Amino acid sequence: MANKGAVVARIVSEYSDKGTKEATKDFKKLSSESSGLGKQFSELGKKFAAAFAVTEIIKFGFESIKTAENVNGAFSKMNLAFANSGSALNSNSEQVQKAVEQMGNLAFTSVETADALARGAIIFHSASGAMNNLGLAANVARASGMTLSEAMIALGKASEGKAVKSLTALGVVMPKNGTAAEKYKIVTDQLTKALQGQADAYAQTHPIEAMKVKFEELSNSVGQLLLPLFNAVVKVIDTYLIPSLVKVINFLRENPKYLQPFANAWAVIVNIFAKVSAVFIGTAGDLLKFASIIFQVVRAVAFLAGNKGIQDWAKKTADSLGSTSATLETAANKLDKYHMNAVKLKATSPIVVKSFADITAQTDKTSAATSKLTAAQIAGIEALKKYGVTVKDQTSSDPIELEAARQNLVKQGNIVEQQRIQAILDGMTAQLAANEATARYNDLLAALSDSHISSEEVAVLAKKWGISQDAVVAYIAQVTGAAAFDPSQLSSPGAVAAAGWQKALDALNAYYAKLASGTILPPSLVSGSGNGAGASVGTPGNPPVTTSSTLANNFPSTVLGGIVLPATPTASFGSKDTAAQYGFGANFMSGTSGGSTTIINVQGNIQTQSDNAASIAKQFQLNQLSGKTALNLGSIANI
Amino acid sequence: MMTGNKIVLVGIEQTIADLKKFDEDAVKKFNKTINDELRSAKNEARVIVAAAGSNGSPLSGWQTQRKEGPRTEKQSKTRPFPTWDTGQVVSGVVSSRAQGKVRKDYTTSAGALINKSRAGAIFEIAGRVKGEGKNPQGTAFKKILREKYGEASRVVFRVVDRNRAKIEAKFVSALEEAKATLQKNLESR
Repeated sequence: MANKGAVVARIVSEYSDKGTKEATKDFKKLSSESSGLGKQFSELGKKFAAAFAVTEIIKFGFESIKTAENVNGAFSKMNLAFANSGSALNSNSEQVQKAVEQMGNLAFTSVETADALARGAIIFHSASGAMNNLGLAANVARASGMTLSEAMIALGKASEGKAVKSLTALGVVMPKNGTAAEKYKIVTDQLTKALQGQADAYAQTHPIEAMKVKFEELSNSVGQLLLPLFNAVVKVIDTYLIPSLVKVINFLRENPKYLQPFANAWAVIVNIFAKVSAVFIGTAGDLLKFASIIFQVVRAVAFLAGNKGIQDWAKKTADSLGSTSATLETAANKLDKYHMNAVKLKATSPIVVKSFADITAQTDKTSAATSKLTAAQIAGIEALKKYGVTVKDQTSSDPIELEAARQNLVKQGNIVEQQRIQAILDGMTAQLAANEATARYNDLLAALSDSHISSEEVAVLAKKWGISQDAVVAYIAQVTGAAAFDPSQLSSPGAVAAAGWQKALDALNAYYAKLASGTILPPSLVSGSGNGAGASVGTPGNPPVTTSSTLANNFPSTVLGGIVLPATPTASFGSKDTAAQYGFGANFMSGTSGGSTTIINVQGNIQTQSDNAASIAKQFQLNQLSGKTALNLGSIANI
Repeated sequence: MMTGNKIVLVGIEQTIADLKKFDEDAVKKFNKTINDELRSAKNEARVIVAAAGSNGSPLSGWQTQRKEGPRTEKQSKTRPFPTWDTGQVVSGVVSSRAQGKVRKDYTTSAGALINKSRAGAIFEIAGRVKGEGKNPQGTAFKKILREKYGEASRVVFRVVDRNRAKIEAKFVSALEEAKATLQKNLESR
């Protein structure tokens, strides 16, 4: 950053998390090694690292509790081996505790002693055998450089009458004759004579080793005290403190001006925690303060959390402190002998600020992590958004949580429910559309009742339907089968409706042309000299037309519908002029109103004019095929 | 020098690195705000140095050119007192956003003024330790320097002390804005 000797005036400081990484690493290591606390302790590590960031606290707790755990583990194994050998001895037996203490004086740790006893109990098939040979094993170990456990195993093999290389190297001569017990007696005599006082001498000449053992014992003592405390604290932190802290932090994030005052106050609390964890192991009096310090912490935490649950816990803990003070005093007296001093910790405001910074940085990292989402996760988030799940706060932008939330939604059937509701909505929309179409069709029929659709009617329909006149024209064209026409090309909206009718007329005229050519009907019918029941009202030269009341052969007008024509007969259907003669009005093809009234009664399943034309043609064919002779121009005219 | 509470910023590096993926302009804006403030502070510090060296050097006895001729044996074992070159000292006053060593309070620099030259550093902090100098000349040097230019922290520290609150506020608001932009971008994904 700058040359050596340069003056650097820092204006703005930025938090760096380098300091807490080591502690977090330690806790990860402990987590992998520990079988007792496991995940719980690992979580504690993270939370301490993040929330308190007092590295030394963690390291101290790490060492102490690790030792305590190891000791507990070793003694558990020993107890099991003793029990399997049928012995009533265990780690609580005075005899065992005395042996462990003596071995401690010989610079063997509790763990080493317990392990050697466990192995001895197995190989000697007796706990007392292991206990009796412990002293000799200690001498053998110190003389040979073996561990206490290895020495115990060597002795165990020797007790079975086997020659052991490691013992032979020490000058032991295994007798060839005698029972195993006799041989072992000789061997132990040789070893005792040769190695007497070796362990003592080692302890005297290796003060550092001896001190190391004492220190480990110290750590064990502290660790044993800390274990239940830490467990309790972990629970409280998990249940009450962290949620409260998160609230506080959120508040501080929104109101940064309160950060510094809060940090000053919090530093006091953190210092208390530091004292609890580090423990001033100088004098018995100092350690006795332990209880009151815990009490202070408990009170502080209770105050901070402002939660009834934690306050209850605080009360219980404070009560139980009275009963533990005797134990603490005993431990303190023991520790006094070694005049150990723990590192005094001080939590300053910047450290506390950094503590919050840790958490803030962590949440920021979480936010930033969303920028590294996989495609599937992004798709998941998009899917959530579609269902109205908004992602705003830090925690819910975590991809894992989002994925979990999405799967939960699926599980609960929310997405299926959404689809079902959508289907219902679609159905309702379709129903509304159908209703609208029905209403429009009724309107259309009313408008077509006079077979004319004028511009005024189109305007009225457009207003009623709430659409443009062009749209009305297009709609009519669609319904009447005149969709092939381009409405914009027509002179008036009514022409579109007329176009539909034209189709029907074309079909009818085609058929009529055939009639006229005599290919279908007998000439007598064409000439108008019909002999049916229907009375002819025709005029000479023109095709006879029968009114509806005079249909020939009781032709069922209701089947095909009927066109009631004026009494004046016409020659034929054809151009618009001839259509006008048949009552479709002079302006029929042009779509304008006017002319005489033509009533069209549409019955049966006929909805459009093209249907009408098709029906007419079909019925004609049916009648023709059936051989009926009822068809005549009169009946055609009625159609 | 540098008294009172400080604001410790959090997540500058992370925020800017992430923001770069979404909004280059926002990053540029952030950098501009920060750089403008630092430049302004740097110029202010340079003005102090230039004023002090307006007569050639801050003190009449402060050599501006190294003496010619061979050095004595004693002199050859020590670094000579630096000569004063106003241009060199002025150009030695720079600003930096580089992260330095992490302090025990887990902080590193996010923005700083640096007085790089030897002469500049002496002018900046000479007399910081109270009491007499190592020799009469040293005592006189400290005394006159104090009388003419005030207590130690005469250039970059003085500017920083004077402007820190303002610069911090600018930093904080620029960072908050960058964070907000980043958050918005993340949410809109």
